[in-house]
Amino acid sequence: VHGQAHLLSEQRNEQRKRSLYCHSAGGANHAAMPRPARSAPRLAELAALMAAVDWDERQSASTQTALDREVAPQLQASGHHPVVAGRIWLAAVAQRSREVQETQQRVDHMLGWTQAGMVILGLLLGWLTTFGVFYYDGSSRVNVVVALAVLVVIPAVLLLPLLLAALPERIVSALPAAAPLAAVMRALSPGRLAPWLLRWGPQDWRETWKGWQGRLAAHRTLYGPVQKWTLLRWSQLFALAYQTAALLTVILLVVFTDLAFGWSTTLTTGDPERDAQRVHRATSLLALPWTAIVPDAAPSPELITESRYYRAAPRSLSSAEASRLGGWWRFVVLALAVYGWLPRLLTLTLAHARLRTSARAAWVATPRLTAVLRRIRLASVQTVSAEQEQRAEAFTLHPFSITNDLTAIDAQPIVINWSAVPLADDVLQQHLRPRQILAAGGAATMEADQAVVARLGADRSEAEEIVIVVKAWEPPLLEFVDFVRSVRQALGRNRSILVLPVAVNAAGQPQAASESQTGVWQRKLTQLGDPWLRVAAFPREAAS
Amino acid sequence: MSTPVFAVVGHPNKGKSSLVATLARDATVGIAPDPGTTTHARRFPMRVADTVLYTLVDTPGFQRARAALDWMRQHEGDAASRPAVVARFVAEHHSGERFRDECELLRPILDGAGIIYVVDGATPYGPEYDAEMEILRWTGRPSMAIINPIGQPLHVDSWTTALGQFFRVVRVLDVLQARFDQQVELLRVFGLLQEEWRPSLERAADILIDHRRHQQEDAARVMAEMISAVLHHVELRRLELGEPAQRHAAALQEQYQGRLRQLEREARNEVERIYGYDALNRNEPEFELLDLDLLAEESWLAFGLKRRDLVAAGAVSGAVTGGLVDASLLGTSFLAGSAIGGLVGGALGWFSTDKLAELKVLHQPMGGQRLRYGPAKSLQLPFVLLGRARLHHQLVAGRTHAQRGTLVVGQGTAMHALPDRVKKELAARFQRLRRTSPGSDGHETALALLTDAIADLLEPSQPN
Repeated sequence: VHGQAHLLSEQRNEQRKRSLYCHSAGGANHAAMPRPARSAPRLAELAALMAAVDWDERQSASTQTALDREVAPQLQASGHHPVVAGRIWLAAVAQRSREVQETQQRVDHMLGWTQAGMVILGLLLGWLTTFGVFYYDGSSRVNVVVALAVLVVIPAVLLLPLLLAALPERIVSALPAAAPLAAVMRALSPGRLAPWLLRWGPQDWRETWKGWQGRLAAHRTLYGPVQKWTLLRWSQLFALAYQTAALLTVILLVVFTDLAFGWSTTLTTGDPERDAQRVHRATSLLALPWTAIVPDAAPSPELITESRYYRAAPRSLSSAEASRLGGWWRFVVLALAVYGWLPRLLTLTLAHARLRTSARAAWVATPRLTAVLRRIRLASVQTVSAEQEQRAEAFTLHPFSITNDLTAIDAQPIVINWSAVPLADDVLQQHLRPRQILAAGGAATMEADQAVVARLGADRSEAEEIVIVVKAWEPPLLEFVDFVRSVRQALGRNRSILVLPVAVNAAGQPQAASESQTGVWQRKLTQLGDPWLRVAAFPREAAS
Repeated sequence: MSTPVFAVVGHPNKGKSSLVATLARDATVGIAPDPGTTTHARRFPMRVADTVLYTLVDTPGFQRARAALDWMRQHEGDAASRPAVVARFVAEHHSGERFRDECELLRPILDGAGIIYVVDGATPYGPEYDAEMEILRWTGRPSMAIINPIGQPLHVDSWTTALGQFFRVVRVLDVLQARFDQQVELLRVFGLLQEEWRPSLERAADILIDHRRHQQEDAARVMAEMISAVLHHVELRRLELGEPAQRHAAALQEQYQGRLRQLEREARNEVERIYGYDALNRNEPEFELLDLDLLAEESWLAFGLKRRDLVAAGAVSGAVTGGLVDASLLGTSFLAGSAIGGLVGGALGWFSTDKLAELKVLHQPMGGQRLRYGPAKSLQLPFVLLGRARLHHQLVAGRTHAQRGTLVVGQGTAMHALPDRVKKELAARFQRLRRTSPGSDGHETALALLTDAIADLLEPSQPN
């Protein structure tokens, strides 16, 4: 399943690459623009992104659309890479929102400050510790065992929490006691000094920090790894500074002072010869990584035997002896470098890389970012209008009922067939019993319409009512309204005009118009404000 | 090359605005039964990045076509001067009220737009149409007609005959129900009206097809995310010491179900947004949970510790302490110290769990009892969710922007018709999604895999 799915995804990605959509017009125009990097997002960018997503949520749809349209072409040019696309969008938001801009700047400063603080603290502690361990006033010797224990063994043991943290969560949760151990180690991590360092920062930094931590906490499942690796990177930075200071201090002490090394331990076999051999085996083993390059840097058996000392039997050294005992220094320096400094360099690199990975993952998974990018990508193809729809003002109908009683029609009205309603004259005759049937509209010329109007004006007969039969399925046009106005003008006030929208079946027989059709005619004609103008529905009985 | 522009013109209420709404995928186009709803020409450019590929113009309908034609005939010279007469008509009447609609609809045509003339194939042809078709012919612009049956297509034949006399290209399309492929095909036909327009329209059609695929993929992603959120959702409620669990059971279940429904609704809205529907009224039956036995009472400890962790930590520290005793006796104790230490430490860990739960540090309890509802265990649930989402998607993707009613989503899940192979594959991907925790890389992969599988199911050719 996995393999197939990957194949499918790859096919899709290929399609995407080839797609016109991604390389459509506009790409060339934007090719000259500096393209944001694909590199993992910095923490400050991540913080700004979270602020930007919040900002976006507060904006109106129109603001969002305007921004989307502005960003869409650049996004297309970027090929919709999530980090690049997010950066482009973030830059556009930052131009509009001071808050987002400031968040990024402050977090950037804050992190810079914290890192510098961690480095300074590490250097100080490293220097102090090394000075303590290598304290030598000539009365005693520098104990190599202590030096290695403090500067190599303890830091090596302290690597454990990092290793635990580096393990996938699944494995950690399966290892008994690993989770609480990791929690305790994290609690003791020097990275915890960072928030404490920030207390000395300006007020707005602290607020930004709090806000950011709040957001991280709110989405702990997503940002947990970022938090963890931020902390671990700080602690590794601290540790590397500590080891660097230790190494430099030892080198400086070796260069500028005389050090006499020795070794001393209570764990003894009782036989000095065997003890020395054991120590030699241990030092040779430790020196393995560098003996091929610097053979002198492993203490010889003689030096080991000679440099053992007992506090119970102190004796002062001759200058030749002291000089020989200084021969340990290469071993000590290289042991510090290889077992203290180098692992920390590696762990810092690891922490840095994992932080980048987790920051990238958190960036991609930032809530709503996917939705925002999707919205923008869809906005890159626009078919909708940017203009506002201008609508005719809605007309509120005065509540009056539609007449459907044809007995209300005069005995012998004059009927006008408007626009060639397909009803034969005899059908009209049968239903309306008109005195006269006239035709207007449709194929007739304007002159012909005027002639009909003139004829109505001249007619002073008994027929009081004019019935205009219209096609119910066609809407009333202004042309018809013009005609009704002319008729009214010709007839004078008080004479009734009845407009009769009618449907016609295939057999050429009148059908009742639907309510909505009659309603359309009624609404239009009511706008004339003519009290003697009515719209009547063709009665169903007549239709049957 | 000038950008192709198409003016959609015709008699009022024959579906001009519906055609534009469908093709432009714009629900803001006013569609009403009353004539004269559209009072001004409105442009709908298809923009890709910053390039316009074509523009549709929605126009008001003819209101006084006979009178306008009458004026033009009075000012006619010879056949060659007819476009100029139309232009003169617009120039003379554009500021007046009488021929406002005619001027508004003729202006884009005089500016070079092609003509898309729309009639209703459900109502009969009548002579009142002749004047407007004649005016359009006078403009001399490339044109085509679309017969849009608003209801039963009873009069399509008579219309085809009548329109054939005025237009070279006549197509029948129910614009309210037009499928996506029909819409794209129509765009390609527009391109045939004038040779130089063809590349733009072909490109537009290709881009729309591509865009459609992206919409499907995006919709699939939204569905996959929704399913993931539902499968992982858990409602928790802390219990006070000695508080009976049953007191909260019903409320917690309701809360859980409510949240699941909310997740589904949000996903629905997002899918609708993807297809350009911002405020669609939807009528969909809420889904019912299949398994309601998801309530569990459990202990919790600060830092996410478990009793097992405390026992192990106790045992390890006990063993280490014991080991030191062993070492001090130079191994003569035969590791008894370690063993005893480990046992004692483990036992202390076991018994201290409850004590720790009662402990408060800075007023924060270090542990206690809580009720948990979820996560859902039913194997059917993701299938039900996907089936419902797929049905909704089918309706949304098949809808046009000219349709204004409520979107009614039925109950059917439409998943049983899928081949067994597909069902098995989906089941495997759902399981993978369940096993990985949100935010992890593994989960992201699981989501991507499910998205791909769903995207395949959203293809219109898939069985329903």
